[in-house]
Amino acid sequence: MNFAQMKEDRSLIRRVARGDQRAFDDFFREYFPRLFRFTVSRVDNDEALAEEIVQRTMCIVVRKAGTYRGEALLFTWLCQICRNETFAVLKSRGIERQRNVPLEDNPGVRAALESISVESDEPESIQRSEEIARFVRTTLEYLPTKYATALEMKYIQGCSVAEIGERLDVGSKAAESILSRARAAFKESFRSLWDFEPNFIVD
Amino acid sequence: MSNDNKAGDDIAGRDHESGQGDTVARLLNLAGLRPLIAADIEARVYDHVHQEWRNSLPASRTGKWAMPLALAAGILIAVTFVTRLVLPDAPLVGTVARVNGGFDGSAASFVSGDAVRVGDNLRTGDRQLLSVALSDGTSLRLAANSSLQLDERRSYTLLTGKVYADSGQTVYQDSGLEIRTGLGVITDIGTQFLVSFEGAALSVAVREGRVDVAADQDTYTALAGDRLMMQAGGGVTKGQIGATDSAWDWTLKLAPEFDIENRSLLDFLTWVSRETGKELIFVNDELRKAAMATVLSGSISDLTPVEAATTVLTTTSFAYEIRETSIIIGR
Repeated sequence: MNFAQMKEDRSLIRRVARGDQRAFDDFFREYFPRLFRFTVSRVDNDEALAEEIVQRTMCIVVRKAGTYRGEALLFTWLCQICRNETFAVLKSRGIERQRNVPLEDNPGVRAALESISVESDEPESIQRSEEIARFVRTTLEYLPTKYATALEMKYIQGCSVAEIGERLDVGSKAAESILSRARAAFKESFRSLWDFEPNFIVD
Repeated sequence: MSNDNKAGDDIAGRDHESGQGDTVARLLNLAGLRPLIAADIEARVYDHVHQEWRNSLPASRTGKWAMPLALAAGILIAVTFVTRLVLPDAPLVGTVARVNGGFDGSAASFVSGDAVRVGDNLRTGDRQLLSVALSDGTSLRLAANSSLQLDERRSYTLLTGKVYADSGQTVYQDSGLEIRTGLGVITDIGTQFLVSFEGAALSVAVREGRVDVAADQDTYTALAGDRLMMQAGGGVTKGQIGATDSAWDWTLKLAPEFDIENRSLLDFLTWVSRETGKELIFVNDELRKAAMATVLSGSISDLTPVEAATTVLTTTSFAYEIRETSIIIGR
């Protein structure tokens, strides 16, 4: 349980509920992009549909900000509301839910993932790889923005610690610290969200 | 790449716990960069959600004038209210920083971030505390059951209750705050001080710096540690009050938030010292320099200054002791 993050979440949402403009802006800036990407991947990348769902979700959240008890991460709460709104919007439009439930929502994911090798060219393996990729992206959305940004910059874009620090507006030492904590948070979130061990990949 | 960058990257690249840095990298590279979101989508959603949020907030303050009827000894101050004409270009005094406690029928209600202007009346109810960040950085804090009229940019009338002011610096200024009451006028020269006025009695306590109190055609000076007490009908007495006396405790609930991210440990401990009145003591100068060089990260939201100090210091290698009147940093 990330108690420190939950405490931050409670403080932020409390200030939003009190009408703090700066808190509202912080809340929107932090959570809109993550929620949008979380949603768009669930509606076949239909951005207009995702926009409607996210707008409805965030409107509900700001109206009900006073009811957030901080027993789960704020993003978890947002995602729960978002799932409900996704279902409601799809139903109102007469759109059937996808037959393939996203892998991350499947309780049997662990057994399936443990059997694959990402290096394989087999169609099944490629599909699993794509599903894992979505896992990864979803995990990143569960992390604070600065953590996800630091990880992407380091491991995907090959940026140096100094460049990461410059982007996050912190010194190099602080950037190192953020990267270290981001890696730990990513692994923990990946495991706990999907009940999955990252060492499934065979070296 | 400089040696420092390379060393930093080496450290960031290694996973000391499990050697699984490569695994994280492979997972991330498998996923690739997350897609960008079109700016117009974000702007549209922001506008809608912001409007919804504003509509969901409690009604804004009524902004009524308060005019005192009587300020004689032994008579409870009675105030009446008339509707204030809203003057859209009234000079800005500051913004509401924090509001603690609920609203229990008070006429005016403020929310954090609200602008406060010349002519406004700040009034708190039974269990309510309010702080304002003035434009010059001074923190003004109102206790429960208090009423402060903002007459001019830096001249206010304390109608009843308690107000605490912290100008955030010890350098004396030419023009300080002026707090008027029915029994005297208090002028701040760069300080932390507390004014209590309950109709028949005025008390001015100074935590740091100096204030001048003009009353009964005379001027009295109070320095750090002094408490001046005046009664209606005459009589001024001077007593002592420690910087950590319980009389200051309620002001802690309105301490402005201190963001520790990228701030030095020394800055943070200085803030704790200022808010609690506890003297900050370093056993030697090397420790002070080390505290200056120690950069913090994280959040101390919702923690009192002392709780925050304990939480932060336990994550460092500094030995410390928090006593009733001091914080001691050792090795």
